[in-house]
Amino acid sequence: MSTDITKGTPSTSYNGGWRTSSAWLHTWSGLTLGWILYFVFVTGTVGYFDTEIDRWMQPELPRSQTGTSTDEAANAILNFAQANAPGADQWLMSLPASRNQPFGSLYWRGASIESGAVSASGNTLIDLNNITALNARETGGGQLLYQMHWRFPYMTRNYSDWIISIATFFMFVAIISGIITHKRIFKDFFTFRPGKGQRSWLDAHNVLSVVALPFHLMITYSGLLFMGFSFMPLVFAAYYGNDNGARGQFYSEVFDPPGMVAAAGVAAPLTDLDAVIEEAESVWGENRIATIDIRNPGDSQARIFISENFDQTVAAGAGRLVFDGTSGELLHNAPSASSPAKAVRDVSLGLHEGLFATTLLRWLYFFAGVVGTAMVGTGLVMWTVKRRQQASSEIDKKHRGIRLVEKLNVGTVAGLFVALAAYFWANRLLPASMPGRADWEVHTMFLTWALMLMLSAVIPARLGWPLQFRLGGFAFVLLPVVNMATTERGLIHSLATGDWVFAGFDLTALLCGALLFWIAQRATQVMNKHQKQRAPQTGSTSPIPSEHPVEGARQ
Amino acid sequence: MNLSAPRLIALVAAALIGGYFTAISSGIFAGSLFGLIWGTPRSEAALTGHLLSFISYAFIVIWVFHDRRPLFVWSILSVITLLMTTIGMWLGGMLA
Repeated sequence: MSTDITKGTPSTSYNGGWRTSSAWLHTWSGLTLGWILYFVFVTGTVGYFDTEIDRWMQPELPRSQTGTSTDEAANAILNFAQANAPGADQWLMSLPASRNQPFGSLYWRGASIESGAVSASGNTLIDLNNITALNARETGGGQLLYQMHWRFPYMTRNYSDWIISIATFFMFVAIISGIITHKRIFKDFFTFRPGKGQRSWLDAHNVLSVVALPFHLMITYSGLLFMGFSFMPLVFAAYYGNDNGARGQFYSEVFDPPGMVAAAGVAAPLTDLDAVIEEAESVWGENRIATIDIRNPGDSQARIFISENFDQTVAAGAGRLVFDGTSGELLHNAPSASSPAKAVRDVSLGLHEGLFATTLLRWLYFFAGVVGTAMVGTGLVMWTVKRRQQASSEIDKKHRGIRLVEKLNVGTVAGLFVALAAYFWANRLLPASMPGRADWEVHTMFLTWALMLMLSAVIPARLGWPLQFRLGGFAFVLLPVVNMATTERGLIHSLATGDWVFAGFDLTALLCGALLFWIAQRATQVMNKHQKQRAPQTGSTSPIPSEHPVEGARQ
Repeated sequence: MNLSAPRLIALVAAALIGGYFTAISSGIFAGSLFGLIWGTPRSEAALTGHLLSFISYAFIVIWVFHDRRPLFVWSILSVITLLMTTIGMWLGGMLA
């Protein structure tokens, strides 16, 4: 397998095989940005339940209003827009069409405050029953948690894009080189040798990698495509030139709906929305409309762009219809996949986001994400296990590097769960009227993570692993208790009333907590077993390398 | 697997920076080629090249660390990048 790059023993000379070189590359591309990948996997996995988490984090909101008919919802939001955002350049109305959009909402910009708009631009959820804005505690919610996995907080978009792109690319290289390394990938899959030190870690890492290999490949490649326009802009520059205008030209050729026009400045009443909805439904079928985007409402050049709900297709792009906003005439019908390459891109992105997934499939996505997280986690731990064994026979020279990786591993692989739980705790415990409370939820999460890294720096890893997993376990198990103490929608209430979003969150938190306790227990056992093996220091050295993943040679 | 520090740096640079530009050039080349064969507009060619460039990038990196001769990989990557960019952009100019 891989050896150290700068210092190899004479017996580990490079023999030129693809598997050997791939193993080396696999190790280093996986480790270098492994902690970033771990963070991306954890927040991305949680993100498959972004909308559900949103709702748990705003317990003041009513139950989902997805049952509302398209006509009723559209007219309610339109009434709200006319009353609260007159004279706007754009009203983007989202209908509560599926799990992804539990409430109606309105985004507007360019509204006229003289004509009575509440603000020039805004974005608000709307209660369809009485046409008022829905107000709840300020929070980033599940959306922000999910967003963290493609855009880091505390960083400009530019830096974050580059870091995530490179980390994702390293992951892609790690997966492909990992496949090349394991010639007998399926035989390895059926080989699991528990309780055998490094072998067991390797087997576990193999099983976790192979069992969800299609998912890992798909999620990484499509992740690259998400970042692609900022990561590899030069491919487009070759065709369009490199200035901003040229780039805009490309985007509009590929993505813009046809028939965008500027406002004429001549007032004209908006057409009857019901007729437009009826025509759209004659094309797509009933209740298939997700958003109604009205540009220049009240102008003679008004346009209505209607997007199809894409919960019934894997592809991320939606079909669009364009109507004249004054006559109600259908001007364009733009299907989602306008070209084969765009179809490949849309399907890749759609598979990544999984917005189409219904309950069962959504859970499968979640578990695949958990497996991916565990794959990255075991990979990181394995690096230290291997090196501890090699190092134990040598002098204490390389140990600084190993110890650093170990500390980062404990504080991230285990500590990140404590930080994640802290984000939810902060949502319940920070006062509802606190200024900047949404920011403070995030600060709480990252301060907790920093605390866990500091804890890991001062406590030996032997104790740190079980301790931090146990802390995570407590933090998650107690979440339903905190919820019950601070809201009316505790677990007992939600189970009794069939409130599955709340019950689901609380039960999942309990399950996560239990899992973390179990991992802590296993970690303790492994550490103790190693302590016993070491204690006698008998001359008979076992052919099986020591099991201690952390402190093999520190004495 | 003895790699001296300068050699390692030369290889990492070849893989990440050299490979990056070779990957882009392969995208331009393949996009234009497919574009001409299937008669697609340039937006489609650009998107096709974009989809393929990440795959070439990964395999270039794997190859660089397999070969491990900095001078050789740098020369090969430079020549290929120059060729594919030139031909790719020339072919791309014929697209609609």
